[in-house]
Amino acid sequence: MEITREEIVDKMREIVGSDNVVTDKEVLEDATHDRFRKYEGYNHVFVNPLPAAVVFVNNKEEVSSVLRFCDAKKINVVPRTGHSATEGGLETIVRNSIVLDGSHMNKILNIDAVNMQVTAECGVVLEDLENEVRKQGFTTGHSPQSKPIAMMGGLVATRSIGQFSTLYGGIEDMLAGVETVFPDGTICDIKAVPRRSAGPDIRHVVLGNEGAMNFITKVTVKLWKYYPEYQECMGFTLDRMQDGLKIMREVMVEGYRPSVARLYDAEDGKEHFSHFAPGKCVIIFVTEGPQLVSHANAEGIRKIMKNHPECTPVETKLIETWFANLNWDAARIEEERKEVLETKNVCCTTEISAPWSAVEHIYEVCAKRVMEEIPDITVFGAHASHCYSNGINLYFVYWYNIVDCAPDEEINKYHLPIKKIICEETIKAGGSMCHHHGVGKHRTHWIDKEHGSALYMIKKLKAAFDPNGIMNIGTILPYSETKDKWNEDK
Amino acid sequence: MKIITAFKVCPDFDKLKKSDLTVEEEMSVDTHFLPNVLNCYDESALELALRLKEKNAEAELSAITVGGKREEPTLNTLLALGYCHAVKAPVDEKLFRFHPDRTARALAAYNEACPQDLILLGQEAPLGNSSAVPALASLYTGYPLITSVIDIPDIREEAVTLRAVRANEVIEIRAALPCVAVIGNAVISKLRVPTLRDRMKSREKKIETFQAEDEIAGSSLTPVKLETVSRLRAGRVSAQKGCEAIMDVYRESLKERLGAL
Repeated sequence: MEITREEIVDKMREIVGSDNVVTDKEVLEDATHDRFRKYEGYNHVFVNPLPAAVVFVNNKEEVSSVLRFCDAKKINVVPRTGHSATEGGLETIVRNSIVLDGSHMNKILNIDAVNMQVTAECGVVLEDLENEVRKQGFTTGHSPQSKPIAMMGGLVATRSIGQFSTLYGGIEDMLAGVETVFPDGTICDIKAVPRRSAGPDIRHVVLGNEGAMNFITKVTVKLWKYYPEYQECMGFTLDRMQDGLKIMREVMVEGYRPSVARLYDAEDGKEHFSHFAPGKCVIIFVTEGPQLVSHANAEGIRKIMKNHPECTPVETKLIETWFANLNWDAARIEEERKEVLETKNVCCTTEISAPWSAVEHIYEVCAKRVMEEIPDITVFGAHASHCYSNGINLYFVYWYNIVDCAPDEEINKYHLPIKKIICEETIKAGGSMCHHHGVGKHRTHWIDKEHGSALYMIKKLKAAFDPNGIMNIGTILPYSETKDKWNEDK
Repeated sequence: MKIITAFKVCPDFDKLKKSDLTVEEEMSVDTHFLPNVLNCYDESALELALRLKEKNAEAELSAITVGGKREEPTLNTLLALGYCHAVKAPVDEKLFRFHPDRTARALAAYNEACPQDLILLGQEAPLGNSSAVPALASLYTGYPLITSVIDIPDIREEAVTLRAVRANEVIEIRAALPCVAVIGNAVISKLRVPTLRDRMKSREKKIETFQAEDEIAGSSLTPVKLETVSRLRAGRVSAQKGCEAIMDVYRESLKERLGAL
């Protein structure tokens, strides 16, 4: 017999205490979605069923007890920390879910200056962590735009990446150890070591699981010495995105390691650089590290750029000022909310990765198709902000006016059709449809094409670690894959 | 029915770091590295004009600015949004500062060349904050001035209906045309966004240049002092956290005041 909403709430209160179980309607409404449904949220339209409660946990034992109970009673659990997800991963798509919130677990546990690593609970805001380690002259090297809001658990769960990734890598390169809790209540602490060859790297069962297999409680990431005084910043304008992509490849293939390597096309750049580069593409490099290393990288990049007469250098100050204002904090989200409600003009994004041989085609075909097939587009552009020796990401940015469309129809009229074009064209060309925002619930439509024969492994992992299918149902794998399991005995 | 809106594009001072605030020789702040924003009051005025056009298809919209290259993206946007005329009165941007009188004269001169029924202006703009242009524009055009307008619900052949703030009350005014309306804290603050197709369609339309006979250059006011204004608010930061912080704030800062209500 199905457990009632009241019984779920009572049990949660018993486990974590009444103060940590929130059932206020507004809080529950807010917990039904993430930034994927921001337009609906701004209009107070909530299409997903309200969760039974938002449950704030304070330690791994509470997490274990909650999960064990939910597993036994087949209650869907949506893990959450900073609530900055963008792909619907935090949506509560079935009745009487609970949102398990780790944001109260916000202690920095140990800054280990000898072994150059820092351990923090899942609810520590990345910016707070970074500020603390900076006091000791270190950096985590992680700087996504959501840094003022995003928390360590979510950053690991979504395989996040930051603006300095070309030097420091993504979170998978930073994560030394991690503690996580599985739905049967098992607490696993993966120790932080420099490297090991003791079987498969089990960190990767946790990294990117998007709360669909386990709940991350503690994270240890590497530290680096921070040398802001040796940062060198440079910017260039040019006419063609395709030329810029070739230059990015050249810099990477020649072996240089800027911390920041970004390329904006003219459309996306319009939102950022119209005061000095209207109608132009913009390339930005930042090098950092010890003086000799930073300078050598900068000199090498300058030498390459001198061989490209199609590029014009721009004043460093312009780039530095822009970079200082790039991150999203709560105030900026509120500003966006007001603007969207007035103008009905919404900005959404889809980020992909592609091998060098395919990226220009993906860029061109997506722009062409979206312009031809989707109405009311006000901006369709892209930037590349994460470079590798074997390829690059593209961060498609699109704005559209919402015309003759109720808030709950916006996604189907605009966002998903655009995402469909980008994901399908990317996969067809040999790239990945998700670079760093995760699959969430809205890219599951193409997860089979994304993984091909390797989808077997994803399904096996899900079945092994979440046999009752209670963890963030509909995330990574579509609801249809797990609903039969979930509905058994309910 | 002709409606013209005057606007100004300004550096986005919200993005100016304190450490970057340097006063140059001629008593100005270096802002060349800052992005540009449409002055907020003017942005409201431009959107209000578009809404009037939706209610009155006969209305012909124009926008005018005294400026240079910095204003061109906005002028192109306005053409894409359906403005018939996007007009630039060019100036040497380095020399042109603190110029309410000449800005108003340029607007009046344009109005003489192309008479308008309604002139909309924002009540003030950064870099000077003189708030003088609207009054001077009224003086030079001879049109009556209506200040603190927050909405313009209707416009007909002979008159315009405006909502304006007087002594903290919103009143409705029916004013004969022509007139000058000064947009204050309007009910709308954002300009709509043209689609890419609108932009492409409007490529044929060109920004017009209007050169007033009286050359717009130099400065009519000479700054003698330049300093930052402290906007820190008086307050107290509670040392407590969570519920205790709320009770602390209530006891120390609110209880007495609420009791007096």
